[in-house]
Amino acid sequence: MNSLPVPKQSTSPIQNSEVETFLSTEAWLLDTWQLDKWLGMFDPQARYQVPSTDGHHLNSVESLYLVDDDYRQLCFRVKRFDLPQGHAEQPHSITQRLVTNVLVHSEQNGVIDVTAGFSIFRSRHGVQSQYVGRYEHRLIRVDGELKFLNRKSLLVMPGLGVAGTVSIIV
Amino acid sequence: MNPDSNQLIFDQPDDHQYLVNKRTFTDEELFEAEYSQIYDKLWLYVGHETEIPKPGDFVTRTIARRPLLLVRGSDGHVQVYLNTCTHNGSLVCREPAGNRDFFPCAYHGWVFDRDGELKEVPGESAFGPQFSKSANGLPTPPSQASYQGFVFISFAERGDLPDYLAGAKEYLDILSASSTDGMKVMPGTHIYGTSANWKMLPVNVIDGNHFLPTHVTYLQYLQERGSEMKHPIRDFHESVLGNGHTVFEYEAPWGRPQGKPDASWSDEVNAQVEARREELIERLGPELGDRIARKNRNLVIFPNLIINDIMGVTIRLAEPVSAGYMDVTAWQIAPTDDPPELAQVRNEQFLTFLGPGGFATPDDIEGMEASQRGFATYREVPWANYSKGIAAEIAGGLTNPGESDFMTRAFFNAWQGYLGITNFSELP
Ligand code: FES
Ligand SMILES: [Fe+2]
Repeated sequence: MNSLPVPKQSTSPIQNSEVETFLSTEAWLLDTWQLDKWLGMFDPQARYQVPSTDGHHLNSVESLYLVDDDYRQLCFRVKRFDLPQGHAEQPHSITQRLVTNVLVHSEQNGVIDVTAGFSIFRSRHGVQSQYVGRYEHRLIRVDGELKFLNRKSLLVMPGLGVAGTVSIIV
Repeated sequence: MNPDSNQLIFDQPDDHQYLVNKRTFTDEELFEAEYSQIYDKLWLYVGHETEIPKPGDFVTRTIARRPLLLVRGSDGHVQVYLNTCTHNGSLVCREPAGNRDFFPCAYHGWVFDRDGELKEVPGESAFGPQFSKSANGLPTPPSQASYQGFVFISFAERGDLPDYLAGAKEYLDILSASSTDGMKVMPGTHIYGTSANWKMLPVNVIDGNHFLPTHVTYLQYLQERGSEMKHPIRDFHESVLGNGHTVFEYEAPWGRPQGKPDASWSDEVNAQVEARREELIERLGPELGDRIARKNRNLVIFPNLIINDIMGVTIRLAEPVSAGYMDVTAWQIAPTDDPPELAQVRNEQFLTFLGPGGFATPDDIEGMEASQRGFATYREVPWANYSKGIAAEIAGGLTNPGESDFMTRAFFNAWQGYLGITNFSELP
């Protein structure tokens, strides 16, 4: 998304505040582990993607991502959180997300490209670790409601370090 | 006989007991001894030649605590350098990867070229007539050698990589033969830390015992997506390859984009996978061709290289940081010529099991980290039990997958042999 046009508020009928509310709602659902409701924010054509920390600009076919879920994989990822043998998130991490710097870059034929900054403070086994990064999402409007068409999370970190995994949604 | 709690390993086959002292995972002095006897002496994996395909391509990497620079030179040869300036020691290259003709040192401006030669020294004459640029090229580690594109170095003088790799060579040959056009390391690197001792990673990979309890959710994923689940792990073969290297080879329920179709994939993709299988059989004969296509291989090359040729193919490198922490770097190695539809399925296969975001690797990491935390009880509960299968071994019988720790025992026997001590009291 380096080539995205500089946002021009005046040509964008969607209000920044609507996207901010959408992303804050998402963070709330994730932090409170209401993941079935969170899945409802996705279009069935959507992907959830996390490129490798050293490959932000690469595509998911020609490079190795950390996560590249289609909707079916994403549904299983969500289900796994509640399986007793999904060990990596049993017990669940405790998270607090801060989402900020929300920008609408373009809106064309109902497809809306937005970016935002995030940090996720995650506690697990008495240790706090942090994920920091940038969202580069593509949203669409379905029956008046915003949905994810591509939920892409770029981790702006030298590697995962002590966070170790992306076993939570980032 | 009661074990002496200062022993590293308690090996009593008559009592069907093989116990490893948990302190070997937590003790910082032993960790330093592991550095001096193992990481400073053995062959260490540093990278794959396909990571830097063109002259001037480079990557930097930390191996055994040293900053290294891997560069493909003008003549196409991959050379490993110690990433330190021959002037005042600064890192010569401060980028993770790229392509350069020259590596100018930022500090005082000495300039090295992509062949490691020193080309420019500002104020050279002030160093006097004895100074020679040709004697001040980029330094190299004492030993370097490659096998099938896998580049190894040693911080000791040695010239024996093929002998050192021993039986593991066959498995690197097999991996490299998986595609007519060769295999290449894909861009995009999984870089993460694991709060566990470095030995836990290879031991996890050769431990068939953990598969079902740890990875049942992955099997559920396969089932739900429609893979054929009738046959469990079968046709397995575990072997000790010498010098601490081990392999576990087996057929599993999942498909392999390298040559085993999966009921959950489209007919088009399965036709491509079938074509791969036929090509392998045509080129390598029915036995080896079928083996490459159908079977999975978990390979450990002592001490720091782990290759899982399973539903996806991953190369992992373990860099011990302290007794309780390691840095892990992992790559995907794949056929250079996969068409995009197959590449997409191959990536899905890889990512739904492997990596920090997979449906399986994070559970392995949880198992290793939870063990490491449990090892803090080593004073009261000193022994980790790797005795599974000894009774059957002595009786001359075979075990089933997951019923023997014999590769783990081979790993620890080799490890203790390299360390050259058997008891904590012998630590310097
Ligand atoms: S340290 Fe490199 S030029 Fe001085
Ligand atoms: Fe595992």
